This record gives sequence, C-alpha cells and structure tokens, in this order.
Amino acid sequence: MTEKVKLTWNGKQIEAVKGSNLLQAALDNGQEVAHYCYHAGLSIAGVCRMCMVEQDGVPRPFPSCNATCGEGMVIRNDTPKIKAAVENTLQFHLLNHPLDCPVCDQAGECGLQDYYMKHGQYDSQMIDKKVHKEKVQDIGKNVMLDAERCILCSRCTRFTEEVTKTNELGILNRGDHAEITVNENLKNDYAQNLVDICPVGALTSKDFRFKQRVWFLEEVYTTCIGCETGCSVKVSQNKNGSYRVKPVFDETVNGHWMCDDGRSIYKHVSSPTRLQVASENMNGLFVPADESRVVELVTGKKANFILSTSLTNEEYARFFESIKGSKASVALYTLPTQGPEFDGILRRGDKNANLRGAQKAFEAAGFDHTSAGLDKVLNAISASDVAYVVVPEILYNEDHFNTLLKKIEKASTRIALTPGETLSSMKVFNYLLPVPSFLEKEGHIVNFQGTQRQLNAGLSYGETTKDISYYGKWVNV
Amino acid sequence: MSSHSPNQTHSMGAPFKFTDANLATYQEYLTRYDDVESALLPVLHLVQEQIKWLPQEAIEYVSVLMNIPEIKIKEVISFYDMFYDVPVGRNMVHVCTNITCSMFGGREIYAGLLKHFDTDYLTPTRDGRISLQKMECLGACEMAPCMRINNDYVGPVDLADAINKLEELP
Repeated sequence: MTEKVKLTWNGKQIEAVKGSNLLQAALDNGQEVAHYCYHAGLSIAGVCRMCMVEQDGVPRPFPSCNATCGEGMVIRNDTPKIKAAVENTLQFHLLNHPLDCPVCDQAGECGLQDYYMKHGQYDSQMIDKKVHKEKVQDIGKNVMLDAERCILCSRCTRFTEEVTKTNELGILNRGDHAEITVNENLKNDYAQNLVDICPVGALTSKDFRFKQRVWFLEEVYTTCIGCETGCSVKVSQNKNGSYRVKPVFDETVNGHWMCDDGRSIYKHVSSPTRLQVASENMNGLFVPADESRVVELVTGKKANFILSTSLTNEEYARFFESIKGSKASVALYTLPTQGPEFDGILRRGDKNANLRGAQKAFEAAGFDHTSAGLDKVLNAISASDVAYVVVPEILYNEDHFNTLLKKIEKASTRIALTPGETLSSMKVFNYLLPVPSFLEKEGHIVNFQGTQRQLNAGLSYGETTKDISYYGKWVNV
Repeated sequence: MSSHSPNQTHSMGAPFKFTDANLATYQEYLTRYDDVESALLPVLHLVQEQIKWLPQEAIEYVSVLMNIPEIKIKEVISFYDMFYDVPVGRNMVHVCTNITCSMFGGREIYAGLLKHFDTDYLTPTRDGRISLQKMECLGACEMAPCMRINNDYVGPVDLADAINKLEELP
C-alpha cells in the first residue's frame, strides 16, 4: 500500500509514497514550494497557481498540488520559466491588495509578505484604480473579515464545507469583484481555525488583533487542557503575557485543527487578577498574607484534599508522596459533562483533561477517585478539619463548582490552591495559595485515548515552584 | 450578478413553491445529469421562468429541494449575469454592448432606452413592464446592433426601432 517511489526534485533525489501529493512530498523533504490554496487538511483546489513545477517530458508547467508522485519523475521548480510564472502569478495576487501591512495583524506571518520578499520585489505596474471591498466585517465567532486583503485561495470556504460542514462561507460575484462572503454569521465551534488557515490577513482573530506584533512572540508547544481530547497546541507569549493558542498538527489526536473553546485556555495564566502570592480572606477581600501563618493554622489538624483533574501525572505522584504516612483524606473533583459527549470533530463533553492520569495515581496511592469517594470525604469533614480544594484550571460550569464549595463550609479552615484568577465564589476560603498553571510546568497528562500528552513550561507569570506537593508536605509538619 | 452587495438579500414577501408542472420538469432535469448539483443552472432558470427573479425564499426552497447549501446557490447566482436576485420587470430586455454592437451604436441604444424609459440597469420601469440590462456578447454579431427581448433576438435595430418594439410589450 505504501509503495515508495524515487523522484528527482531540482536535481536532488527524494523519496515519497507512490500516488501521494507531489507538493506535500516536496515539503516533507524540506523543499521550498510557494503555495497559498494548498492545505494538507483540505481538498485540492488548484486556484492560487503558486506551486507551479516543470517535469521532464511534459511541455507545460503545472501546479504540483494537483499532481501525484510517480517513479522516476524529474521535477524542477527552480528554472527561469517557473520563477517567471510564480512572479507573474504573485503580481496578480497583489494587484488589488491594499498594502496595509502596518496596521495588519497578519504582518510577520503573512504569505503575501513572505513570497513577495522571495518572488516579488517589483514595482507595481497597476495603473487602474484598485477595486475596493468592505474591510472591517465582523462575521461572528470572534472572526473578522477584510475582503480587500483576500486572495481568494478558498481555504476558508473549503474548511466550512468539508471540515465543519456548516457552509457559512462562499465566494460571491466574479472576476475582480469576487469576494468571500458569509451567508449567515459563523456558527460552527471551530471558526478560529479559519484565522489559522488564512494565508493572508483577510481573516483575523478579534481576540488577538491589535494586541501584539507576532515577531515579539515566542511559542510554547504544549497540550490543550480544555477537554479530555488533549489537542497539541502552541501558545504565543512574551514577558507581557500570553496572547493566543493555535493548534499544532498531530496525526494521532487532533490533526490540523482545534476547537474554539480551547482558544481561551491561556487567559487565566497572565491575567492581572491571577493569584500571585498566598492571600488571606479579610471580610471578603483577599490581601497578601504570610505563608507561615497558614502553616501555623493547619499544623496538627486533619487535612482533606480535593484535587482537580487538570494536574499532571507527575504532580499527582509527587503529591501522594508528600502526604505519605499522614491521616489526610484525598478525593477527586471531576468536572461535569458539558454539551454532547463528542461533537464528531474534536471537542468532547468530558472536560477533565487528565482524568485517566488522576484515576491511576489515586489507585496507586490507595485512594478512592470516584464521586462516591468525594461524597464520603465531604461528609466526614468536621469543624476542626482543614479543607484544601485544588481549583480546576478551566471551569466551564462555575455553579457546579460552587455546590462543592458549599459542602466544605463545615471545615473551619478552608484553603484554595489555585492556578488562576480569584473568582467571586472563592470568598468561602480563608486562604488562597498559588500553584503553577499548565503553561508553567513540565509533565504529562493522559487523554481520552489513553495516550500520554506532554505539557511544556513557557514563561512564568505566577507562582511556579510551589506545586500541590509543596502544600501537601504541611500535613506532616 | 444583479447586485454587488453580497450581504443584502431580497425577499418577495411570500413563500416560494414550484408549480406542479415545474416540479415535474425539475424531476426530468435530475435524470439528465449524474449528480444533483449539475441540475442547479436549469433549475434556477426554471424558477426565473415561474417568477422572473430569485428571491431569498426561492433560494431557500431550492436549497432544501436539492440539498445544496444556500451559499453555493448564491455563488452560482452571483457569478452569472442572467440570474437576478433583485426584482425585475415582466419583460427582460438585453442590449448587447460588446465590440461589434458597440461599433454599430449598441451603447447609444442602451443609453437612449434607459433615458426613454427613465430607468437604470435592471431597475424595472415604474409600471413594472420592462427591465433593461446591458450585456456582453449575445453571440449575434451579424445582427449588430442587436438586443434580446425575453427569448427573441432582434436586430439590427436603431433607437427608434427599439423603443417601438419595447412599447409594444405587454
């Protein structure tokens, strides 16, 4: 099935699967081929005409995205003929371009800029007036459309047709009047992917636009903790904060895409209201407090830990190690199911990012991870106890969490370990203690398939050295 | 391609349905092609035969009937000049302004007709009788300057001829 063939690309031998896409084969082998409309996750359109190649024995250049690999093909895309073809094609793409790079969010990662530097660098020969189209269009779901910047590669229309099957986008009118149009505002839950696949600045994210220049950002490659799918993502950040989440191609889990819910998982990490230091509740207002006072308070008291499902395997292991030999009871708070179990693309209703890892760690340490176990611990809490609650990193259903908080009110000392913002419902706690967020720790989580997914640490905006095992040690003080 | 404002839809204020005869014709159209999509062009013409133009209701009706997303139908309508998504007059008049007809005065005829009937591109006359549309090549250079009145070719014509012919229309 996967028969390999050898072909020659610009005089270099490359190997590819027989019948596979020629453009993809070249890209996989590190060859440079300019392209706009081709996307590995979408059907072939062949409309941008940028990926032209020449083949020995074929009289005319042809687009490589629409060709398949065969044994002994001799392909070139560095001949003068091809260079001229690409240059002329690019000139047409830029014919009506508004050249608003200084105010365009795509600047720095724009296909038009990149290829202009490589294949362009001519003076415009356009003497007619440029065709003007509507610029700032809010087409829903945090996506903004600028029709003037569009080169009509049709990636977005193919995405709504083939991936989400919602068909909101189309190309209306003809010739230089042709433009991307929404039939009705976007309604799919994967709309932010449109911003990713747009090779130019026509579709930009309302959440990200005008926040940061992309060349001031660094990427952290990590895993989304928004649900049990565990998509591969990269988070763009710099010392001022985190700014956006984009999917990373991962064949086994998420392919090319991710859902819109996952796009906002970064927000609490560098939020101005993120908890930075141990804080004490002074009549509903949290003020920085000395940690030693908390230690004094909890010393000698029975500890009840309610862990969340968004911690890493390593954190669970370290935590159970830290409380070894104590009488502390531990339970697991699982987030309620949100929406359908599986929406058919990526998103799952089970929002517990590392439920499987947590269950395994609980079992290994001899604790009950079921909801019955949670109830048992909650019922057994007495007034003299200390209740620690690890706040779930992404809370979809705050009401459900509040009912949990109601049940710990019996305990005289209530402490929250939170990787995020201070919520209004946290007033039930006496103390808030910071723990690292998912972007500030290395570790693994186990997704719904049982696959180990890697979390990587980026820049830190909060407390990163004191994870839950640090606080766990207090039970043995 | 009757309107250049893609976000604007025009309603006819009542639901649309094919007549029984047209529904039978539609079924016959389906037998002509391998897939349903291919029948879209004749089906849209059939709608225009019935009610002259393509209101939003008709687009929705065809979308459900043929199981084609609305946006795909709108793409087709906006691509072709002879599909109208705005209301038009009872009689459709196409005036050729391509090269041969222009050399013989086609543009002047079009401008003269607009002035005579006090109307604009596609806008129906006040009595709703006529819509005028200038066309690229009608493929009848030997009749230059020519025009198409509903389904009949007329030419060569001069402005006076053209006005007379149009005034006779019901």
